[in-house]
Amino acid sequence: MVGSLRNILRNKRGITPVLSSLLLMVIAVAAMSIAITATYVITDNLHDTMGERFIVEDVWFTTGKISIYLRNVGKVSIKIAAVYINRTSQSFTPLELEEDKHGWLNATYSWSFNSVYHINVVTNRGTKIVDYYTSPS
Amino acid sequence: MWTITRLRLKQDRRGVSNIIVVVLSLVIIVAIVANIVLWSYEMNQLDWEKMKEDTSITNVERISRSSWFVAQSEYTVNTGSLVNGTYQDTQTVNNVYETFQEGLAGSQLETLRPNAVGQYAELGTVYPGGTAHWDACDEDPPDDDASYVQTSTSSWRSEAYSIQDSSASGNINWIHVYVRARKTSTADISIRTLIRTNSTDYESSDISLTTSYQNSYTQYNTNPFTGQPWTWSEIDSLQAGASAKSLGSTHARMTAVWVVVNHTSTNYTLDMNGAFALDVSTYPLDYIQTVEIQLKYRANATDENWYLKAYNWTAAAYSNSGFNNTSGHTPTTGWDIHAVNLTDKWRSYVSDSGTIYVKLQDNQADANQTTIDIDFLGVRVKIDGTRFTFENKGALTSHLVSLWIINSTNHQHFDINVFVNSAETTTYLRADISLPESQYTVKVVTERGNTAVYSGS
Repeated sequence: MVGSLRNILRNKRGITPVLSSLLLMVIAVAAMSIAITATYVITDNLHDTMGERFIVEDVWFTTGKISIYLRNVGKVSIKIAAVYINRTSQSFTPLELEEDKHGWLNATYSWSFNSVYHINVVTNRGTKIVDYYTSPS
Repeated sequence: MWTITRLRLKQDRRGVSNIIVVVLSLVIIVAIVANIVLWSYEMNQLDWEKMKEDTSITNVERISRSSWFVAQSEYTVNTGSLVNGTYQDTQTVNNVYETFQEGLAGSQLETLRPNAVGQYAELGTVYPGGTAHWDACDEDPPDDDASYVQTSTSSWRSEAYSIQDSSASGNINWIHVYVRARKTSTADISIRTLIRTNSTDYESSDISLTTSYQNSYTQYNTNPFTGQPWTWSEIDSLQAGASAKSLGSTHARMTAVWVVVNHTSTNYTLDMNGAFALDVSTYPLDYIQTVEIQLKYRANATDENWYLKAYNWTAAAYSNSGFNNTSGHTPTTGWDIHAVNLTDKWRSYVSDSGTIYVKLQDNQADANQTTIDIDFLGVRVKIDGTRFTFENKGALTSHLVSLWIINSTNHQHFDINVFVNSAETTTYLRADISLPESQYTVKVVTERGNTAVYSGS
């Protein structure tokens, strides 16, 4: 055993190809790992974003708030990230909807009778529903 | 070329592993990207299907009554007979009918209570004071300590009251003479039933009393004076009561006396009932306002009334208590409609599963053997519900999952689960949805996310 180690150390011409091969392999594995990870991360987000669908079933203007009834008709769960009324961000009760679930999204807002409101509901993946709604007269 | 490449690869083995790593990685990347492409295809299909969906609400109307629920099995005839037809003939109004005929009433019971003074009123105490002794013992049901007669002496004393005349006929099988009594303290004392017939008293053996009221009776299969079966005139002149005595401070207290006559009637009667099942999945019990029973029938005699009753699940007996009509219906010999409404007492007559048993019977046995034809007998519920009509003009089946009733003051949401096939129209009834009186909007949402709207008032 000691003899073999001495042989390798004496034969210095054999070490360089081994090292270069190892180095090349490490570089190749690392590069492809980065590529795979990046592809996975990018496509996973894309996958979720593409599968996101939700609708507004109803909008109800009640005292001091606007309630929006949402239904998740997509393939992934959604989380509401922002509600804009007349392009201004409003506070709202947090809402997460699993697939096929539905519920009220209550946004605090002092609305006026017989007015048109531009309402924009945005999920944390960026999907949004935008429409105009008229308050009761 | 291939030989050269193979020789090179053999000479330069370092490159092979790198190629394998790169190829495997590319395979993985291709798989991930392919997944995205397929997912994109799937979501596009979802959007495409959503676009092709075409569902609409064609009508919305108030519903105040359900359709008729009719018998789904043959009627049970307790007294009388089924002459012709089947229960299916009573399911629709079409002059195709089922015929029943009265039968002999058979063994029946008649209860007779005190209605006048009799031979004896010897028990020293009557409560309330001033009440006639017979009047303190004639209640149905007995009122126990609210009115009674009570011994006050240590020697036997008797009570005997005149009783109601019988309205029955036929052969008398036996009579029971009942007393309801208790003792006022713990000493052992007894009471005896007493009847007086043909001016002769007959007492039972001693019956021990407890401090709680108990019913005791003596049976007479024949008139003890004649040794022969009872006659109706003997029943009409019969007096009933009891004898009792005190022991120290323990007194016998009697609150009721009555006579039960068992007789075999030679008259005719009809007693039949059928089972009806309300659809409680469509008409939940919580939303039923009342229940209606309707009978279309024809009797060949007009001398007696016909009654609709239902099984009272609380009282475990057939009754028409609480019905809007408890006096029955007098037939005309032509086709007649007899309808009753169970008012707000309907819940006692409907089981939790929606079963209601309906009985048809005559007033009482009589000499005429009446035949009746039943063209229709049904039960329906009164509700304040809504019927929706959905139409699917699209090429795909629509799954309706959400329903909205919206007016100026309220937005009501209901989860629904209705499938409408392509090119079909479906009605959907909800007993728990009451339409607003004012202008309203109905919205229905499909599983794919489309919405149909209907406005009404």
